[in-house]
Amino acid sequence: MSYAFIALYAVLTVAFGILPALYALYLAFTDAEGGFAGVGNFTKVVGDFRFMPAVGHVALYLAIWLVALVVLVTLLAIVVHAVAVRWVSSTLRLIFYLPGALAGASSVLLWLFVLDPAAGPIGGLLHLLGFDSFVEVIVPANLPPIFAVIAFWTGAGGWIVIMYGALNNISADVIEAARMDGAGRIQIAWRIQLPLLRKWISYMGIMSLAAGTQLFVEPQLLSQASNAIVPNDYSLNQLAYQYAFQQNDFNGAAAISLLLLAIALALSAVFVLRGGLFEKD
Amino acid sequence: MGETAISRRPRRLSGAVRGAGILAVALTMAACNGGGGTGDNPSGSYGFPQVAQDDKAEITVWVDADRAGAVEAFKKANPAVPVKVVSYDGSANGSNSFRTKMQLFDRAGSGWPDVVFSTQNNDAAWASQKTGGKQAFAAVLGGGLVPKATLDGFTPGSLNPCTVEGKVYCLRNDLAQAVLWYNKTLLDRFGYAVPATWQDYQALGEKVAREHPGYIVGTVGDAWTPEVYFWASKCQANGITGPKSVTVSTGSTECKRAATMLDTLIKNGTTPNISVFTPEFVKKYAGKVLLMPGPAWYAGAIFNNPQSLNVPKGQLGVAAPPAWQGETAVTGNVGGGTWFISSHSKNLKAAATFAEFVTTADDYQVNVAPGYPAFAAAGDKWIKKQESSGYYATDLRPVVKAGTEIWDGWGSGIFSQEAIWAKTMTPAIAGGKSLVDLLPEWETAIKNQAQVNGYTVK
Amino acid sequence: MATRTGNRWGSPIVYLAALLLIGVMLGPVVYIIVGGFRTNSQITVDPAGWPDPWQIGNYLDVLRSDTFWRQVGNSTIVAVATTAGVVALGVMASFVLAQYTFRGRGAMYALFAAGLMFPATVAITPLYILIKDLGLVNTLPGIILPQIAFGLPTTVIILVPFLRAIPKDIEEATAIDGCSRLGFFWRMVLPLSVPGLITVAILAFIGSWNSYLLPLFVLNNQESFTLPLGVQAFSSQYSVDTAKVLAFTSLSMIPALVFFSLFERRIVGGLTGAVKG
Repeated sequence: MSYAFIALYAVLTVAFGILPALYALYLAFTDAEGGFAGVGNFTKVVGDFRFMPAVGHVALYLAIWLVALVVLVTLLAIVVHAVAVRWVSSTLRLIFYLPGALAGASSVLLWLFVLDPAAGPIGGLLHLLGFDSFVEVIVPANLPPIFAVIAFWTGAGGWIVIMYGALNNISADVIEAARMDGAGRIQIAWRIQLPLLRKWISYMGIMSLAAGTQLFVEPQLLSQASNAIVPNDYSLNQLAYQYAFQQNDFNGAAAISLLLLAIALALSAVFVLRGGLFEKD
Repeated sequence: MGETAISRRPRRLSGAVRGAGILAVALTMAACNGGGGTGDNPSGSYGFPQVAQDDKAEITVWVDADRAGAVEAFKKANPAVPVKVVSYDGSANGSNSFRTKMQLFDRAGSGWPDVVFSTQNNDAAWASQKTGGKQAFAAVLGGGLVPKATLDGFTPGSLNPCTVEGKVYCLRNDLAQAVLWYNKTLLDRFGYAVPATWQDYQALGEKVAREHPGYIVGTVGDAWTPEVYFWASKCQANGITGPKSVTVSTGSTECKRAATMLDTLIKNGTTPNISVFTPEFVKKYAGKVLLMPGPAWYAGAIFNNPQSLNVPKGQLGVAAPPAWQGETAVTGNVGGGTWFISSHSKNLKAAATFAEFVTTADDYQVNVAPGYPAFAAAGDKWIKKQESSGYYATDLRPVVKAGTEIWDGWGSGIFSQEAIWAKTMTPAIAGGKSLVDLLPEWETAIKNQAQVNGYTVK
Repeated sequence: MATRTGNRWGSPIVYLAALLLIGVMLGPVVYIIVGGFRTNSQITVDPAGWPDPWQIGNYLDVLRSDTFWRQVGNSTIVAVATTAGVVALGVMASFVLAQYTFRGRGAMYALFAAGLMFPATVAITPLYILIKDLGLVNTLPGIILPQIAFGLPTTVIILVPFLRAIPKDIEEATAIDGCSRLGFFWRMVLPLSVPGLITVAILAFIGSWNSYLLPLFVLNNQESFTLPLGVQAFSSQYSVDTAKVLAFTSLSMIPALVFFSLFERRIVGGLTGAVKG
């Protein structure tokens, strides 16, 4: 039965996961004619004038977004969980989830409307902040926070609901006992709820990291919508895409992807170690 | 139950392994020989290798939403030819989907459509080239596939973006020559004359800034600013000299004079850094556009469009593109669609019939098409039709004339000049930098982009 | 320390912050829904204003268009099928993985995590060739199958620890009752792992609902587009018709909201249930 259970899974993973991955590995170390290229592809892409800026963009975006996500989602889940009135709590969860119902690309387009000082609903606020035209809003320095806001806006709700569910898992007796001992709301959150959420925070961190390093859709759509003012080589993944489909250099694209993978794995080790995900139990 | 499962175990496992092995082989095979040309006719009678032909085969055509009318017109005129329509984004707005999809098909070794419409001018540059030993996507049209008489019927120079090393790889749908649009009613009221030179144009812009602030004489907010101003100034920013070589020199006088002019006009507020396709532009400048150098399609896209500037009937005039004092006038070009025939087509005859029809037949180009036809005979008729609508305050002869004045020193490379401008220049202008100071930065950006695309840069 | 009511309501600052955040989360959604009831000229004149008069035309236009329904249908089918596939295959595999302790389990786990991190851009070419060889280009299964595969690592990472937490004595007890392992899986493991399954389902659904890159490559024809591609195509085609784009966008949220309301209750109720069980 074990093998029957795992067979379908294995077939899909091999076909759509492992084989393409091996193919990428093969591509990264060969040249266009299939000959062995050593680290040639890697030195080429790292030396590309677009590479370092893209690394910087993604790093900054990740730093802003991950911190905001981990801190705010945990906090919000605890706050929503603390709301004793049932309908308030469920309404709050719905509100936070609501933006996530917009199909990916739509949320980017929506923020394009919102962030337009001349035609958007918060034009007044943007003018107050010194932005007079859309071009001024989307200058490169503003993009990492903008992408972080978009990603948080669409992605946080699902995680808040999941965290909320995890918090429900803590038995009421434990909380009540702590309260009897004179623990305040903050102490309960800090001493009891947070440690129990540790594993879930790690999941969120790893999955968001995986998604974040692969930043593609937001800048790509913004690039098309702004007629390339936001460059189409803004993120590393876009650069890989450019290599593959603009320069027809699939080997270079594979090299970028592997570098990206290495970075993502190194970073995710932090969450793995701090979150105790693979501890023997 | 557990027993049977165990006894079945090895077979399942080997099955899975074998399956994976087959997949792996399939992958490598497909990845290695994706050429697709089955070699029935390796040389081909039209100057490229072709597959076995079938005159009855259905042709698949890829068009954007605006070209759906072209397919309808063709179906009506040629009910016997089976056509399957696939709507896609026309590779517009830098999506590059045409090229991306063809590369996937190249790798997969099948799947190519027979005819493709593209909104871009950069496609012949890659579609004419073999990629990784695989046959070039675009069929050579001048080798007999499309009659010479038809090719000769296009406005002189209009097939330049389709021509690589002397061979024609696509048919031009419409011309997008830049002309000088103006609001005759406003100009008359203010007592200004239509500028004949760029020097006059700048002087007029300075006068407008003083006498009628708030009115504008152009914009620099769109990615085609270099094509409208710098191309028309013979700036050597895009000297494509071969399939893989380009000359870039933005330090020349020609580039500098255009930059200096724009710096003045940007500073005094008469050429704002706002895209004409934003609500912001419509809100601020509806009724305030005095002059506007721009492509022929501006007429329908922004002036005579209720969702955009919505200029009333009888006000919009058009003049020939200005010249630089002492020189003959040349002009730039902003897009203009192209039609490609796949060299992999099983029914080249039908594909060619289709491409010819949509570019030359009155049924589409004159009666339906929104843009100025590149096919000269259709172009004349189209102009007459437009004039008879009574919308324009002047005749449209300047449009026809400008169509023949496009400067040929600005090429159609594989990389997008518009994307480079948008990325490096537009934000810098927004940041208050001067164009003259930015010229070296622009040159570096163009050279970098050309190099990563495999160009030898001079 | 704090009084009983203080405990229940927390500090006002927290609530103020929460309110502000709610505004940020809700504001844009309200804006598109309300914006869909306005005309373009209303939006141009006063971007932040209220509809005056209310226009239902934009919504009716969208509801009457085949394109909208086809894309909503496509997206829903893909998301539901992906979710079902991920959950079903994931729980089966996780069950097996959770039962055995073997050497290198940590390494295998790390491999799954690595799978999450793998950038899809480069895998897209071999994937495409595979999908083409299976004859699935331009079809919904061509998206569903790879998405199931992509969703599996997440599932395994979350479900394996979850399933391992099911006490061993329950299995032993059921074994004594003469229950087969399949029966054990069906009658005990599945009900106990519902909260984990719901979590996984939510993640898989959201992932599929937002998926952009894979459909972009697999689907050539706008007729077969899913919503993320469709919304983008719609908005560039009607770039000047802001009100209609807003109406289209707001209506496109409905299936995901239905899904949410169905499952949200389950995760909350289910988790408490698990504790009792």
